[in-house]
Amino acid sequence: MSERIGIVAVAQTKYQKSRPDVRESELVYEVVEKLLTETGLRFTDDGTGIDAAVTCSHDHWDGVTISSWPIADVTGGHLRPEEKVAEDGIFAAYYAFIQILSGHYDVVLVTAHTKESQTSKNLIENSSFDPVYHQMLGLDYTMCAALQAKRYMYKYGITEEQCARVVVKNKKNACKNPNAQEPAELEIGDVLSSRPLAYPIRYLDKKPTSDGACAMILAREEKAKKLTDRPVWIEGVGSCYEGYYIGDRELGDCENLIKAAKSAYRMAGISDPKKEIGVFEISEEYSYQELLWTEGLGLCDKGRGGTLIESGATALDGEIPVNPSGGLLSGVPTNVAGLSRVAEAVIQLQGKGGDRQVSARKALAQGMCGPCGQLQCVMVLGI
Amino acid sequence: MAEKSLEQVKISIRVEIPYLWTAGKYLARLYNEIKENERFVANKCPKCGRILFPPRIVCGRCHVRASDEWIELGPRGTVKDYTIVYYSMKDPSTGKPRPEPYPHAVIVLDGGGLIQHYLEETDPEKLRVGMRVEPVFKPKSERVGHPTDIRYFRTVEE
Repeated sequence: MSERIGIVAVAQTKYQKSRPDVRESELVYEVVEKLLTETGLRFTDDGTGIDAAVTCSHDHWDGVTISSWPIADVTGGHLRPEEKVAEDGIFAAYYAFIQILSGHYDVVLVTAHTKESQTSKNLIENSSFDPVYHQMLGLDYTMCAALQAKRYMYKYGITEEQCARVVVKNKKNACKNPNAQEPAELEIGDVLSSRPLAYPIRYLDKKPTSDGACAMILAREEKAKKLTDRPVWIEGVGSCYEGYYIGDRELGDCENLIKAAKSAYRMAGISDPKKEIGVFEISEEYSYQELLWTEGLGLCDKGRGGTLIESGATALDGEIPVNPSGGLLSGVPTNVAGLSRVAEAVIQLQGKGGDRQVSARKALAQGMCGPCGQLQCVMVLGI
Repeated sequence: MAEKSLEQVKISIRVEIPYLWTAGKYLARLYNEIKENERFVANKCPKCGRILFPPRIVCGRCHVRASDEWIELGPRGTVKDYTIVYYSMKDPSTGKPRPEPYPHAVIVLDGGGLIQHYLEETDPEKLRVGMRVEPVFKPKSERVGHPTDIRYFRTVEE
């Protein structure tokens, strides 16, 4: 990269189970207005402010095709460039990064929002499956996650207790995050005795229903340095897709995340992520995913994700803290999920983590989309 | 070997996904006024003075938060633009088809603000840009707080 691209400011709503007081535009403006106030930027056409917006939301979730139109006013999309990605917010950040790298824009706003409370997660997920094959079987992501969890446990001897440790750790971390929806002090037994959803996944193994929004501003190096004294640079990005049919995939491993991470590490010049990266904010919609994803990210060998969490390395005070924010298990909406991982990584590197602050000069954010992490994206950030 | 042509397989499924949207505080105010008082209200941009109807949080042109000043519009208005629809379209709020043909119009409410709605008049000879119209509301007992509380706009002679 000839010139660095930085994230200059991030904002998140408090994540909540339901926000009936606002419609999407009002929810998104909560975070956009924070950014405008913090940076002093305005939407302009003369190169002095925000040049463009990339947003992430989903037509099915919002119940409207082209789900970015109801928020166009608040994202500066009125007679100006605005583009939407529908996979996960981390891909919106990726898109904005590429827009600036291309030389087309200098400063780009990124937003992501979803109000999961307004419809049925199971039905929305069901509609993502092949309509002439799998959809009529009533599949959703929780059932697929259960298949992946079982395969992972069978293949490597990962235990339900090890998965429950992820819930205990992340919800405890969430107690130190004022934006977290469902912080809790739990015991492993509380997780194991919560009601079953799809064996071996129980109620507390799954991310709760959540409403909220996240936004950030990306800028070319020269402008980033003027906008903040603490820019966070995007040093590497990688993404990788997987097969559409669950049966085509080896669910006990995550080859796509391994490839996405390799690509991001190569770009960022990382050879040993465990030593070189100080904090990890990753997308665990289900507890087992944090263990499996730490393997995919190269923090331990295949099948050793359970041992890694038992060692305490991924705890808030461990060598490689994973999800100091409390992760998705503490409540972050889908689509917002990956962008909020990037935002939390930026918060850590800017030293704004408050009680959840850890010591790091490089951070990793991971986002995903689809059943069992079908599409993966890894972003390495640094100061 | 001659291959027998395969029978085409078609799958018919009905996707039903329930939504419970919230109107937010700006639209809620308009909807309450329609329901309770048969009135249209709007907010304004503090910068350009533009009337924001339906009311909303931000003026998309000026990128500023709308003012807390509320104004009343209409209820009469002037047809700015119209079409006549000759096919039956399902009304998503009832699930029933609307009898065709019916005019769909853009109406400038007195005092400003554009509303899109139906016209009572279906005779193309009698429709014209600039015609004066007024809303016909459903009886209060049937109103739910939604634009469909207005049956249509009817022609008025002034």
